[in-house]
Amino acid sequence: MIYLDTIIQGVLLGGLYALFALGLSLIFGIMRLVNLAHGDLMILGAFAVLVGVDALGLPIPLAAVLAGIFMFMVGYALQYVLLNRTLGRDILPPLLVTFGLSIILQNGMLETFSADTQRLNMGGLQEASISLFGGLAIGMVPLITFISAIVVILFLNWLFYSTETGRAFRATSDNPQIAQLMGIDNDRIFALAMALAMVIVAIAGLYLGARATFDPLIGPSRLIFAFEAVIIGGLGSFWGTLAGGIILGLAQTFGAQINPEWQILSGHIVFLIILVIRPKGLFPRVTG
Amino acid sequence: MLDPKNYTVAKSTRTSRTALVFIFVLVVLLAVAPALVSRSLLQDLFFVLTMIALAQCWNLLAGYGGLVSVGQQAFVGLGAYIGFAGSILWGLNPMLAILLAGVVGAALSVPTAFVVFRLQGAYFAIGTWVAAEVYRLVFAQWKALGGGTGTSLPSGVAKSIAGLSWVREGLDIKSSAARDVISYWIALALVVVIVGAIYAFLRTRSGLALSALRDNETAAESIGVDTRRAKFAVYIFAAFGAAITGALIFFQKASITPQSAFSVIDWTAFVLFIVVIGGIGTIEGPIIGALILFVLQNWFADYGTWYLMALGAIAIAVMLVAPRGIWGLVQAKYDFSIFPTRRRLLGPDTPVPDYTQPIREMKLPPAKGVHAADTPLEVPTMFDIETDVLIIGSGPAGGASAALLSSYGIANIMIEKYGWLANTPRAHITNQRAMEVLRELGIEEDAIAKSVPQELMGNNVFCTALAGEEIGRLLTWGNHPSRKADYDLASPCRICDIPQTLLEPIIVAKAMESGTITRFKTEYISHTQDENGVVATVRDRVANEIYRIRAKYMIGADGANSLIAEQLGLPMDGKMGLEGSMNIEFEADLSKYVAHRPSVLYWIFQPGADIGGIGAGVVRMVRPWNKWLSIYGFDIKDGPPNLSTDEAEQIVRQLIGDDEILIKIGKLSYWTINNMVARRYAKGRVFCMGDAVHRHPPTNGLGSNTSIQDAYNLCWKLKLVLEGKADASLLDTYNDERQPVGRQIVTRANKSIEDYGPIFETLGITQGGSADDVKRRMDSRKQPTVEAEAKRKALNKYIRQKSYEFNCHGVELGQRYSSSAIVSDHTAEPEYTRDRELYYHPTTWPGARIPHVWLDRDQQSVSTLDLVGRGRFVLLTGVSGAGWMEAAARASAELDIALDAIQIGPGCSVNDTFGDWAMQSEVSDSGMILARPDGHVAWRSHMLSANPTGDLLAVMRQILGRT
Repeated sequence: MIYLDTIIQGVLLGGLYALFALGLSLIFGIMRLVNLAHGDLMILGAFAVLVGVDALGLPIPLAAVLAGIFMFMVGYALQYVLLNRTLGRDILPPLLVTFGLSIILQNGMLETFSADTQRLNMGGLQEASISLFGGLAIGMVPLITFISAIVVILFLNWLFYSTETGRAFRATSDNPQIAQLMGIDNDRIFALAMALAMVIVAIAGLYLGARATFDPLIGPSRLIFAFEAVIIGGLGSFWGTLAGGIILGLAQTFGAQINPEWQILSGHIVFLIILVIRPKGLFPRVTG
Repeated sequence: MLDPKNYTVAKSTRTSRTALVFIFVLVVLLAVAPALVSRSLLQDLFFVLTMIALAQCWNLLAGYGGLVSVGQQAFVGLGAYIGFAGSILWGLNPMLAILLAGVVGAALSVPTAFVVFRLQGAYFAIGTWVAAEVYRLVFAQWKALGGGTGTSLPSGVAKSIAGLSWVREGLDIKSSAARDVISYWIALALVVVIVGAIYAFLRTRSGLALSALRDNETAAESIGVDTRRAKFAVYIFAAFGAAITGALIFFQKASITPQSAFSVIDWTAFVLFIVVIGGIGTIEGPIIGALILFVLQNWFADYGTWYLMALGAIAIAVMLVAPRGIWGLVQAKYDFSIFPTRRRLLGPDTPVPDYTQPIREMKLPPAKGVHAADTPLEVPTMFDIETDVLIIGSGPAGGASAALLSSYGIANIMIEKYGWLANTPRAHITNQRAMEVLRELGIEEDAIAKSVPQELMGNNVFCTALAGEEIGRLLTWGNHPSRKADYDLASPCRICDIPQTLLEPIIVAKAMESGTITRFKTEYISHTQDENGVVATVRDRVANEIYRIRAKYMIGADGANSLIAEQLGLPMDGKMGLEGSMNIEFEADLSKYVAHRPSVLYWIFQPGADIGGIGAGVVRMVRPWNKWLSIYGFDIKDGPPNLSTDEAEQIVRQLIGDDEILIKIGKLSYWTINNMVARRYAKGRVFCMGDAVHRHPPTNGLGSNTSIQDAYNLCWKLKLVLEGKADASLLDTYNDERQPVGRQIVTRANKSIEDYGPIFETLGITQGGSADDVKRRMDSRKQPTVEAEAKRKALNKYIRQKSYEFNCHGVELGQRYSSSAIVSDHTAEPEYTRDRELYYHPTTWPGARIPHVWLDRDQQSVSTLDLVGRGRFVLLTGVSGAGWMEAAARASAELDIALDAIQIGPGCSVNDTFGDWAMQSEVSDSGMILARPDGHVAWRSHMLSANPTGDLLAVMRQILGRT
């Protein structure tokens, strides 16, 4: 029964990691950009929700929506003003710029919000759970997180394969030059994609803050989880990203079961093992 | 292999020669610098040199190899650890250890490369980061080097550096300064070798290949360049360089932690900024960048976060505006020949620009302009404090633990997140068992002085409003004459009411007076534990500094939102946040409503008062009769209502039922009704207690009391284990004994809330309708009808039922433990002759608290409870118990443990004047009762046994786990 419990916890944790990873996966898919500030942007999203709740006294859902809108604008501006200038054949500029951005974000948040650990208070939901057979219980927040991850994936798949915007995304992803010739404004499409990714980041931030404490400096470690989930799942497939998140979540919960100190380590090790045996991830998108 | 000597063609032979001379002179100047400059300037130069070394390595990787790594800290940390291990654990000379670090770094870079090279481009970057994290987490497990806490270099090792005495005497300086000089020389040599090697390497076939790669990977591959091999070589070399530099840096620092050795900020972010700002893909760039960073750091590092933000912004700006950095700008503006004198940095070979290789000429940056600064090389941000027991939280559980441990002479540190103790009255009912603990600590009198006595506690009024109709009354807290005797007989202490705001300072003052170190405004963040101890990371919220405390054991008394219980993953049963409740503190002189029926609690049955909360509206006395606290529920589904002062006053007024009276509203606080208990209280060396493990409503007033008793149970066990007198397995009995108590009280407190429901229903408050409808239904019980009589009877019954909340003496005092620290005397558990929850059943059956009776010692009344406790075992026997006295002395000597023996009876040091002990002890005059330091009976014997010493030894050994 303890194993079943661990499995459930691991899978649900995987939902959170998938949410971390989906934004990363999305922008990499469209513009081949790896955003080293992704983790810090998630923390920014969490703080945005916190400000809505604490400073403005809004209920969590409203604060989350506002945070989503805020992050949408941040993402759009960030890509349009800054990151579009770094795109190109050379991978160094985007890496260094986002790394610099990461340092700025961390210290900016440290200056604004202090190093105190924070938590989003979900009220009664925080401790609510659904009882299963045999004394097992599923926490509401983890469950909602997992469901949210699935909803985000369904939404992304719908967006990509059933809408004009999605077509533009795919076109720019496949060949930006040709897409531009066809009248697509790459800069705006990229900005839109980043804005969308930042909405997902805000959602990830919301659950990150609801499930555990956070502070301005934990972004990088969350970025690593997101990255691992993307790689394990295989680039280019959102469902793969979810699977990657789940595998990482399971690895961590089983690691923690053996020894709490090994939680993070076992996640990393499983990641490295998968990297060695399946460098393209477990579920790479079939090309051609 | 291209031999550089073959390339005699140079743009300008004369300038090359000049450059060679210049570089030679510069290196010589730098080499003799220790004799010329101050020690602090030398330390600055050391910093610049090591950063140049790291930046050159990273530049080789990213600038030439296209391998953008953000994980070079893996090798810095690896090198540092191998260096420390080599010198501390394996006894190598530090010089050798540094070399070994480089070799091991290079060796381990091979399998690392095997993994990370499977990723391309940006993903390679994060892959290297993951690898570095793995190294960090693995090295944090290296217990011989301090595990997660790290370790310091023993002074002996630092002094064993070759040539130390020679330098010391030659320059006539102290040996610590001499160590700086040697470190500096090594750093200088390292930079010369690394730059020379990179330069040489870039001119080899592999180097050429690499440069080709950087410019166009596909093209390079198409003409047959083996990109993989060249990248591999670069990766190994960069690892070698970083590891050697890391070892050197940390030898100079003389202490190491996984966090500092594998810091992504220090060893990658800064290095990256150096290279980008200076100019990536050149040898000059990193040198310029290091100098710029050094200057910036000296001028602006005091600005902390702003400095780092500015650094990030500068790096971004440089990348966008001038991607080739400062050196790129210089090159674009001036022709190379303008700087011919700086053409070469070092190296024995003639500086020959090789047109076949795309690297730009090497130029030496201006090495002047470095001024002495008082900034030390690196401000140590981490330091360790060691103690035996670390206590997190200073509430009743944490405070009592600290006071008890200090009274036992056990070193302990208590940290508290906030700046002072409880800021709202919260817990107040202080029951006899808790008072007994305070009595042992010697602070019973102080507590009584601040308390409201039992006599003023007990007119529990149920009414429609304080000024309204009284529906019924229950004498509580042992104030009913039929219960008063039960309470008086059970304990030397009286139940009383002390708000937490007043009790906590008494306990903590006692703790600190007897040795506890308390650190306020210090927040617990996380901990790790191994077989030797616990290391907690805490944050000083005043200085905003993080530091680590190492303890042999840790007590998690961090309250109902316990981070420790969460991090330990203690399995929890039940739910949090069942109902919402709020406390409204207020001041008002309510004497006219209460003085004739003094009580701590007045229960108000009004429409709406049954929603959420603890079952009804409450007006609670804080200080008689002018300081109060209203407890009122809210619907948890709507969240805390965030009341304004006016709204709060309205609630208070409604509960009082008097519009005229002056009310001053104080603090508002919101809390929830919880029903949760940990299935396990401890994990490894961390023990949780108090609300961290039992979370329940205030009904029955058991929270603070149980917390104090948790501490009383655990602390003597910690003492004996820490003193090496008991096996660590004794600590397991804390969970075995206290967890069932926690479960019992959580259930009891929640049941007590449910018990209000029938009262509301019988009164007809819950059935809705207008105020008049409610009033009519409530008044219907006053009719001379059969229905009304039934209603009156029911109401009476339900109100009496509340004795389970307010006179629950059995729950308060009657715990009987069962664990391996209790040894059965093979008698059956005495039966409960009265209600087990309401009545305390005294017994000396092993596991029960020793019964209280008054005895006489030197014309002074003492309780049996005064004879026991204070960290020692006590054997109580009678006039015929000389055999046990002897046995106790022998067992005490044999086990080297405090074990006192006392004979009770006429002619003995303690006399049973009233004969009560004879009635209560349940053993014969030659029998004995062995009491543990927490006053619970460990074992008893009905009469003198055939082998008292052997029996007692066996029992003590079992309890102490010394089998």
